Amino acid sequence: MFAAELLASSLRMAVPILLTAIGAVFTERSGIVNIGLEGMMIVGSFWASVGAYFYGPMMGLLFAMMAGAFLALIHSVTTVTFRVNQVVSGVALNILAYGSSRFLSLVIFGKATTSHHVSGFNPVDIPGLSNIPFLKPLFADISPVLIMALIMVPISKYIIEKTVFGLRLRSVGENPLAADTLGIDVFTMRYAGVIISGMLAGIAGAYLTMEHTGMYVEGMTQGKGYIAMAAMIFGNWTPTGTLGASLLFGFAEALSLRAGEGSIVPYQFIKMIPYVLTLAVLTGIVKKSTPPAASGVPYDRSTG
Amino acid sequence: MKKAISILLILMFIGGLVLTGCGKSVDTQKEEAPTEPVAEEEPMQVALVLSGGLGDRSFYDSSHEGFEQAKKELGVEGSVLECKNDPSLFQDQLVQASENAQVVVVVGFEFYDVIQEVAPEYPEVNYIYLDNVVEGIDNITSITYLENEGTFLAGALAAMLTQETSIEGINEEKIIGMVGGVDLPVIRNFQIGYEEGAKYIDEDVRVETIYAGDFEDPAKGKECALALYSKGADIVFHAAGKTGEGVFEAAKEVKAYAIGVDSDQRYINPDVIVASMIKGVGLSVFETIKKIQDGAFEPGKVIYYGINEDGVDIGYGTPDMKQIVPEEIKSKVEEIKAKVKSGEIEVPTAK
Repeated sequence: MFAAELLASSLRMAVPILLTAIGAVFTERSGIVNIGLEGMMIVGSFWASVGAYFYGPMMGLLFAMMAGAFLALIHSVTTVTFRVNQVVSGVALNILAYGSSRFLSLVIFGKATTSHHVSGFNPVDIPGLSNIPFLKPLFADISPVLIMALIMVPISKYIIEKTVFGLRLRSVGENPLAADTLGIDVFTMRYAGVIISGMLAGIAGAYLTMEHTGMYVEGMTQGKGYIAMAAMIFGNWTPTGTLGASLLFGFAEALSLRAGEGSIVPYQFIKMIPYVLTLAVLTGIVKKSTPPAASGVPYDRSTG
Repeated sequence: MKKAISILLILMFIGGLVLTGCGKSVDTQKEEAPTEPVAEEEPMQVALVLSGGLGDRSFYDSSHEGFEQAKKELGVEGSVLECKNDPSLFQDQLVQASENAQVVVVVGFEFYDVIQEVAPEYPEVNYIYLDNVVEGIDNITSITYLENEGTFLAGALAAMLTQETSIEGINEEKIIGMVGGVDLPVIRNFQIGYEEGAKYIDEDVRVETIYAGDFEDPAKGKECALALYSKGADIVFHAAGKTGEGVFEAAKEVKAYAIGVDSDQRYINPDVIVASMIKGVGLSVFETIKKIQDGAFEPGKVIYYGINEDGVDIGYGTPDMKQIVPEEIKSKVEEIKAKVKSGEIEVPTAK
């Protein structure tokens, strides 16, 4: 019972990381480093509350996607067309996201740091499996966004590995000069990669607001965008790898939140787990990683 | 051509910065302070400095309410400066407040070191320091709350309620829960009162506490509360600010109950929030500003707001809300309150 509940909680905590990490896979495979994912989650979470409050959950999701895509458009214009340093652009977008959300929240809701209560999608039960008492928390009352996130994994895998679009995306990230000589539009591919990541990060933010918390709160993303990037690196830049990594991070967070006073290990140690894990992953202790060859390098036609 | 554009852009930026500086000051930062000496007719300038931020609907908002009440009824003026839990801002905001006000209300346990550095630099300014005790500096007056007395009542209430299996949503097990924000002595003080209150009613009642580690993350609060509910708790008390909003969400989802904190939070969800442990932050702010204005104020002391000063209490919402707590339990809580007031019951403290 406890295990099923813990697993259900891990899934819930993993969804925003998973969605953003899949987006990160798309953008990094195309060669653009997107640190601004955190910012795209923030605008996604804010605009989801706006849309959901005034129009309903579906519009909330749509608003969030468009907000994330808009921020991603800015990122791609600056990094692909103007070849600005990608990390700088990403960080600037994070600051913009934070500030604009606060300001617009004050304008629209009258309160700077929280929104009104918004409703999410109706929770669904998986038919059949939700009747097993042992596994009830795992299959009953789950959010449709969670199901969508899990479906995104095989879909992304298919897109990246089996379609022409995916092949071109990857080639642009590995060797843009070679791709360009073959007539593949490097710029369009990179734009596509970044905007897809923006939309997914926006959906992740929407999930946080609408499904997980029921309201927008300033700072609710709590660095999940950065954890998503770590998950992507841990997952070796593949969608299935990121699924595993996101579940791991989600599990670590769920565990840390369940550690009560009476545990054998002082609960502070259990709370450290997600952050220690992130550090371990990023410093390469856990796994050797192979990024796309041209990731982070702006492509200039004249120099190649 | 490129050079001309860059120069133009730079000039525009500089122009923009200059114009912003000259423009009307925004509400939260008082750039142009009155520089003339303050006469008796001039309204008293008060600043409210928060270590967290407004919008939590409990602790900081309560202090703000007291501040607003003072503005309305006592005619003082001033602004709010928030630090949004960023320790690097504590000093700047405190200095900013000290430059422009005669009375600075400092809200937040976290200001302990910074306030002892800044206060001696402004001997003319009166500092009212909430939620912690600093002694020995003449212009700092500390207000500390005996939240353990209040949570004693809350714990007793929860312990009695968890045995009322006739109410829908209360289960057979005698388990109640608490979600703490950050593990600070203040929050530990909430916890110890809560546990003692529950034990006073029935030794068998088990109290489970989880610390979310954050005052600003409702998602964590929701997960912690869900964990407590799945362990068998049917009532969860929170002392976690914004994180507590998640506790209410969890209560709604599993159809169980919650107790709010600091302000009367029943209005947020009257169906699941049965009561709140009210901490008279706003009351203390208002009363202290009034005392300063009336001249009946002795700076440098420590003021205790416990149950006898109406510093802590249990609130059941407004009369139009349906009451989930039965009248017998409410009257028992009143009995216990009287005993704590008279000193018959002594609640241990963690501060």
